[in-house]
Amino acid sequence: MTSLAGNPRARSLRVQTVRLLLPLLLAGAITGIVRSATSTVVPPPTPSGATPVPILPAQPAAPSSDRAPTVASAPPALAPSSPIAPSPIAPSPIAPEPLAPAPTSEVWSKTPVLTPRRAVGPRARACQVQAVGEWFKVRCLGLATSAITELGGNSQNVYLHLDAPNDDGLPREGVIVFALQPRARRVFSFWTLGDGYDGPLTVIAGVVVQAYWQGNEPVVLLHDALNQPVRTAQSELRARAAASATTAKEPRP
Amino acid sequence: MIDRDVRNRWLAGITVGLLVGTASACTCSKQPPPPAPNVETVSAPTSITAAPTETAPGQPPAVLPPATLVGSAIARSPDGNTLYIADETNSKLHVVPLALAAPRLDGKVPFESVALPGPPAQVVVTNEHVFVTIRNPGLLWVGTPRAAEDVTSSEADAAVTETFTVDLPADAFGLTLTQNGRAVVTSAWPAQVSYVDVAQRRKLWSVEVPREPRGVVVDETAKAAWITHLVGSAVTRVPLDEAATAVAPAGSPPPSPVQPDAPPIPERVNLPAAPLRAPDSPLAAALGYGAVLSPDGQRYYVARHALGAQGKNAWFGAATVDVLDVATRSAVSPGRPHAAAVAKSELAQQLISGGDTQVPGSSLTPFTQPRAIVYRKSTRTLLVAGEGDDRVAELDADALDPTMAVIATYPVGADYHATYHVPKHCAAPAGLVLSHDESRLWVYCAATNDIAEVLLSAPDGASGSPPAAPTTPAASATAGSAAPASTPTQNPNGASTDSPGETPSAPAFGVVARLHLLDDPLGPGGSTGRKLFYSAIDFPTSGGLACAGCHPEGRDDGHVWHEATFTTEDGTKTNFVGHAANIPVEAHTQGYARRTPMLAGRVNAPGPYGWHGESANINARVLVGFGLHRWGAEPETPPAERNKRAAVLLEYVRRGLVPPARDAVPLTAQEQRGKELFENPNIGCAICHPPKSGFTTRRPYRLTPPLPLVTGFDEDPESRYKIPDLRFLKQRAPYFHDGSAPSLKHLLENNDYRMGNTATLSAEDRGALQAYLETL
Repeated sequence: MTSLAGNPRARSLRVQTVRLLLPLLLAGAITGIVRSATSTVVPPPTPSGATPVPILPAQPAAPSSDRAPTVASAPPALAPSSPIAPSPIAPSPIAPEPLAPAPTSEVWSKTPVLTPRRAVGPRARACQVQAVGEWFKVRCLGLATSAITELGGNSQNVYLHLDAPNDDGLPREGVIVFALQPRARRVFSFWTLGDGYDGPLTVIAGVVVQAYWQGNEPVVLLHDALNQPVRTAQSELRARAAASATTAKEPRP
Repeated sequence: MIDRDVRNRWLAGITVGLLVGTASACTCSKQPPPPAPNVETVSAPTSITAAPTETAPGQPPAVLPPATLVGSAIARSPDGNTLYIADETNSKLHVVPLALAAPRLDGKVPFESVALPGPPAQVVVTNEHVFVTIRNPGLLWVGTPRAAEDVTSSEADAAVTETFTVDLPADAFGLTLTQNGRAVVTSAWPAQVSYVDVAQRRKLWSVEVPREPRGVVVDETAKAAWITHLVGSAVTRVPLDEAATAVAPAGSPPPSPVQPDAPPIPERVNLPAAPLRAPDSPLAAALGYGAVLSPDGQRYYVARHALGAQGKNAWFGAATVDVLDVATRSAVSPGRPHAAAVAKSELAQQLISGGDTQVPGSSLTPFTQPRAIVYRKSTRTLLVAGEGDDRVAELDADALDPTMAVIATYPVGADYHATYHVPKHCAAPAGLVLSHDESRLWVYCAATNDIAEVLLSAPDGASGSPPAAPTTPAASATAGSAAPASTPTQNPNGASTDSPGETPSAPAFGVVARLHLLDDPLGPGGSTGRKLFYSAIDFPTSGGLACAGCHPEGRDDGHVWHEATFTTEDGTKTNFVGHAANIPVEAHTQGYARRTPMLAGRVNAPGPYGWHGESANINARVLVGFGLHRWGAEPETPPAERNKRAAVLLEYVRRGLVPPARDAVPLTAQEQRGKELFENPNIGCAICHPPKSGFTTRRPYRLTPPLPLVTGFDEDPESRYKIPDLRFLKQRAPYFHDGSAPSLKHLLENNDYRMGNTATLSAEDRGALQAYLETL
């Protein structure tokens, strides 16, 4: 956490990592470094004796007259490969007790993509949300997902998955599957890569997912994370050096 | 929440009450028309349809609901044609007509200034009257605007004439009007909340609440006022149901159902600060200047600062908007999971930054030092004024944690100084008011005394389809950037703005006009010092939080900081952090306890300064502060520039900071007895705290026996602490350098022989001594 930035040993490791990865990354050839990285999955807390059963998709889209006009926003951007057209999240009944098992992959593959109440920012708008009963699935298309963490809420009935990395070792997309039962509130973060104290491969927040029930309506909010690191003397020097380098490269008028 | 019929009934009732009064002597003066450059039209937006006026020119004014019943440093008239600004620095109410066609700022229409009986804090405008809280003396000032159709008015008539005032406890600050013709007012320093019957022009009651009450809103459904505090994370709920305010002692007969003069019993309601960033225990909070209720009254949003919040390089904590579910009186944020689910790529596991994923990676400061907040109904968003970074952030009001759901940011500061990163225009935004159609926002900037008119992003832009995606690197004028604000800026989600002087294209959103009101009476040096005091983005001065972040209005945040030496990428330095958990674990330290001192009215002595009296004078102390108040090392800055910063800051803190207003009352018999004890050489208080020198000798002194070490801190090897100035003591809890005494009573009862011979005093005499100390 905050301490790692100041740890000389850790800093040394970071420098070594960046020195090693950056040239290779720029050359498009860091295969072999993290090729063995496969998806990291939080084991699902399977209910004892539960048998996976198909879960019916959520109710088809229905106009909600009590929703504010601004909520009925434009459909989110979809990846070209998306097989199912988006539709607004429909009001769902209060989740039955006990919680149904998580839907299977086959069920998810047949489930329509839904429109979250709000998706702000290009990364967030590229995310797909699906719902099957009280189960929700969020995948952020095209986001190099270096990590996913649960920031708030109950950690039960949460499944996180990262796709296997690319051949060059860089992470690909990730998926969150979670149950959203009445009164549940959840906050997740998709982490990606960007500029920071690990150089261009710094793990930075990408998309924040917030979900809860409002009456009988599930609310899913997706927001691009605003990244503004606290300044340090060293970061200032790096920024000035980068600015100088940019200026030097600009052609004279 | 408040429909038009209800408001009209309220207005009718209040008008009847007010019409029976007579206007008192006019205290108003007309401001000469400002020169044309006062209003800067930044650009002419073309993408938004002009807001319709509610009153057509030449037509009799309709009875319209107030824009809001909640006070702010800036308000607009119900017809949307006039802005009213509470100018605390100059003790004036500025009346700014808007161009009727838009409405918008128009330099062709001169503004007027009305002299007030003291420095104002907040203003609310109804069809008939202008309500203003006055800090010193404590007043609710009620004036009547000049009628637009009054053909008998002459040039000599003021824009607003005083109608009446209501005496209140000193330091009247927050203001909200209720539907039944009442006003609720907070008095910050005396820690009081007052209830005023406007029609009868009298205070019904005042009730004591915890220290520094500021923002007030009223839940009309539950008949209760919600109060924020500058200090502490809990909020206060004050019942206003007049049938329930008559509180009878236990065992007594039931009270009469209607006793509006009987003060209610306030309730404290816990509202954890930034729970998703909390370590293992709830965080303290500061800067709770204001709050807002959602239109349905279900959510209560408190904008403030979470002290000790976790995050990357988070020495100062984080800005936060904490949300309370009003019905259940519980936080909306779920809090951190006990065993959080995590999935991490191998790459992330190898990177140092991969270890930072346990707490939110979003910016600690989507806004810095929140000073005002409003709710934008049409988009279900919140607009928060960042005093420290000269901008307004727009957040998703539906979010569990709105600070992690930033929709847009609107920089309002412009024309930044080449040496000091402070703006010429719109420094330290302190008040917000929306236009009727919510397409525009007027921002009052207190440190430069001007108004910025901001065109907001379209509602559909805030609900899933923001404006065009950014095409340039983001945030050139944000906290953490030294880029000149004359460069067009864009936030990560697309809202953009231009600054004056550069109009490559008409901006779709952002500042479109500015109006300067009055120059700073402190002159150039003090003016720059004022801006620096409130600015968090002048990096040589501090690392992301301004002086005012810990010393709001020159007072204190009530927090005990950790002064610790640890290693960052800048090397090994000594910094202040808000919580021991902010310190790198490798440092194996928790830091020394440093209770924030109050500055206003307490920095005129030549010296020494510092916890141990280690700084010979205040100039030296300010220079030390530049290094302490950040993460890591100071940037390389020429000594002359450092000294200039210290000089202008010193000028402001000595001449510009206003000591808290207090009511001057003679000592009671008990207080007089306490004074005698204090000055009695056998008791010994005045030996170290001589009244003639500000109640301090300023010498370092070792408490014997030493105070027990407070959990979470290290023992300071230097155990002699500078004897503190006792002025303004009553409202400066907790006490001692480590905050270990929660009250004066606790301090005196547990003093032993550390300070004087108070242990020999009877309980009655200790009470008298306490009573006297509270008058200092």
